[in-house]
Amino acid sequence: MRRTTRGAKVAALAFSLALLAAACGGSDEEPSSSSNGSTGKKEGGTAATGEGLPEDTLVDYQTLSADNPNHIDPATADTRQGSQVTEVLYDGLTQVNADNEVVPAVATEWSGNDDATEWTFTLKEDEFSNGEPVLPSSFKKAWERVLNPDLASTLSYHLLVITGANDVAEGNADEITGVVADDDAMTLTVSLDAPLSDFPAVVSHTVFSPMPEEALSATTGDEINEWERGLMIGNGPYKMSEPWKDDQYIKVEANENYTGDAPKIPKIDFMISKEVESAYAAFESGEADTGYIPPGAFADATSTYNNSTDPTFGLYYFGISWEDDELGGEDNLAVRQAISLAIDRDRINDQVYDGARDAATGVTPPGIPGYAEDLCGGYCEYDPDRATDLVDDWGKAETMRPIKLQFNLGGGHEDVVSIVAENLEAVGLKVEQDPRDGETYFDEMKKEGGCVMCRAGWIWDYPSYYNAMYALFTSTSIDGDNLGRYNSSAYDEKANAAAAETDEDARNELWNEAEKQLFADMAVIPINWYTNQIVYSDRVENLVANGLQAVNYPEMSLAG
Amino acid sequence: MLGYAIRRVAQAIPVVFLAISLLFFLFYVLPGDPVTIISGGTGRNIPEATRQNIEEKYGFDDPIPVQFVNYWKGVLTGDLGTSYRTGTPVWETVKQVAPNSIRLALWALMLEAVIGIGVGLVSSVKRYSFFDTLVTLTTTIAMAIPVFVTGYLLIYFFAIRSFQDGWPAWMRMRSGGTPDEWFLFIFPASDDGWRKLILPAIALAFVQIAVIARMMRATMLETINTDYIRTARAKGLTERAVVFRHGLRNALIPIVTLIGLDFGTLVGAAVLTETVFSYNGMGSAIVKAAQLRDVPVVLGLTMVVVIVYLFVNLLIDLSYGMLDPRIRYED
Repeated sequence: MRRTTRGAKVAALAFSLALLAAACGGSDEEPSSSSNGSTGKKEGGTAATGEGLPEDTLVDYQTLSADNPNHIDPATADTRQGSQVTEVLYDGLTQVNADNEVVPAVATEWSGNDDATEWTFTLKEDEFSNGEPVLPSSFKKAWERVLNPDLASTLSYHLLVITGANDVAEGNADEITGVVADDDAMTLTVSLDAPLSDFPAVVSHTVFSPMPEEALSATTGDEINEWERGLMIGNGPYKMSEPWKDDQYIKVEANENYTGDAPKIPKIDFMISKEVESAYAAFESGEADTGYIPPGAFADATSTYNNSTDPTFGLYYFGISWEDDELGGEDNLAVRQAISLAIDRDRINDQVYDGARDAATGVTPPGIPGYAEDLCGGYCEYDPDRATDLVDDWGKAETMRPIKLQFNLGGGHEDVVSIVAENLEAVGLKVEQDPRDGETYFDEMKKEGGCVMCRAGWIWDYPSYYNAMYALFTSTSIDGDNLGRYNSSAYDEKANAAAAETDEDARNELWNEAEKQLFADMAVIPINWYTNQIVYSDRVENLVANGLQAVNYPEMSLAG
Repeated sequence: MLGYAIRRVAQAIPVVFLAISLLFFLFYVLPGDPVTIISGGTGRNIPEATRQNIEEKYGFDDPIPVQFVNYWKGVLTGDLGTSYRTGTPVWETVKQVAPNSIRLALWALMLEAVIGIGVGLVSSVKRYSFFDTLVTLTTTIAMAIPVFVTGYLLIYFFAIRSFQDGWPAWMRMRSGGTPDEWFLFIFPASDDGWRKLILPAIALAFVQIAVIARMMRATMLETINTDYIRTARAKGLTERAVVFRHGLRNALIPIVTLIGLDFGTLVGAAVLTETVFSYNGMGSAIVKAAQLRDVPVVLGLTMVVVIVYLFVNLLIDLSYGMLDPRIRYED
């Protein structure tokens, strides 16, 4: 899930690396805190006291603030918003904590072989909220369900690295041969087609969640829709207290059968708003414990309310179609470079985000191990003159179709898109704004011919270079999160080489090379790196939104 | 009059049939693939076998006339189909959103009628007074303000500022949401419910109040200058009797028509209000379903709107007889 928000649990890189060899400490560059640094609670309280709200319930308006989520089932939840709900309902093998470390969840320990092609996880005793035991086979069968071709899940590419997964995805097998589930020994052994040292981090993603028997029979799109709208059974700290009410709310309560640390807040109401402004209005009127800061309100919100607004591992960008005859491929490199040079990122940052976000100089943000500055190679700067020249070189400005600037409604992107449209027209390009319904936006963009120049966001699933590089740009992710449908064997080779490299420094260099290849082809237009945008009431304690924009609901408490 | 009413109800049936049928065929002209939407909207290459299964289950492989007949057969037995997006029966969605829209529309209507007619009436009786000038001015401004601006302003003052500046509790409204429980269909059963209903009702009614006020003033002034009113005055009737018993009833006929025409919009197209106030109504449900080509939902909800609209207009037409005895209904 990525698009709007995603919170995958991230397995501590440090943990997995220590198990391998090179524990070379890694140069963890501190994410440069941009403007505010006002994250945290305000002394003396704020106007949002939380008074009048039910004592035992957290009224949440930040998660589902931009629209009804498209999915919350682990096999299909591919947006940050929907999967935030999934995360409190399901525990996977590993998870990412508030400090961005990969830590145990259902798996108490794990180890990999020398070349990171085989991983063995040892599971603890765990059960679903209905008492059914969580076994290694619960994981294996759940993964097979994700790969079921009838489902055509956009998240299945996460599993394709597992041996035998491709056969299941194509309908030639029912079982993933590379996964061995030993229910007696409580171990799960996974063989991979290619070395992947980050695999323990990868499995923290909600798509790898275990599923109970009841869910396994829901294998097609409409069956999953039905299951999601009933009471989904999971093994997480919370369980659904009533079915999802479309466009209104998703209500959860503490799971008494949870085998981990019991959550401190008995109930959470995830309220669904039609747009972020309404969610914020609800927060300002004292109806909510948490809210999402809409564009333009950043300065005001961070100075008035308790907030969590640190930079995160997230990229706000425009995907651009590799297959389009006027924009894509090698022939049209000049126009893509022109587009990137034409966009005034600083203006967007100032006008829409009150200076809070940093303009992106590449895909991977500071804080991710291996980060290097300006991998964009100078094309992510504001240079409209050069852009105009490139448009002339391109030569199609007279006859071109207007570029469709696509974006999802309800997420507060209107201002950004307006500025981009203005910028592009200023260098001689024809542009057309194309707003879409928020709930189905990403489903539409993933289709062939869907994304022309589409606004998107990617929040890292775990603090690893591999994540975005693989999910957004490899050819295996076409029809999935590779919205632009970028297809380059040169890139795929470099990415695979990097993923397979076990030495950390060498790996990071290879990733830098891969990212440079990306920009040599100008396959993506990065805009800025996300910050968290959460405000919360005085009675909320210990709210931490980590670098992956996942909020630690099970660890929060309500004062008073 | 009863005969007239029955004839009108009988006429309504072909109207509903034609309206929905037109929509039905319209959807087949528009781009969009229901099979993709049903299979979760993923857009991935859906395997042939799955596609065939879905087509069979939903009848997409039948020729259009057959699908048409099947649809109406279903409707007559109470089955409005299932949503392509969520798989929930359309009837469930209708039960949820239609009553909410009708309630909101009724409240907006009451506000429009009472305030609009009242203000317009007083304005006409006290022509050119300070009150009249004030009304003319404010209605001009009010008609120009879009509903979402009114909506946000109301939220800003009565939900946000009232909370933050500590206004008295009875003035604090909710910023959005839909009342859960109702009493006698139109009254919210809880305190909270009233707070969720009032602002959207005002926002929705706002522009129309101004329109009705002005129209009322105009028709009253026209009526007041007719011969029979002069006669009534000459007869020695009190001013009150002249205005209320004779003038008002005639002036109301165009107003009542206006209200009837507006009701359909209030019920089925209050999208902006519903979005601003996160109110779970038919307008936003239809828009969303239309965007997603969720045909059964659009057809089902539109059918409700058409039926409600026809019913309200029948009531309006019947009311003419009460307002103006000269109008008789030939059998």
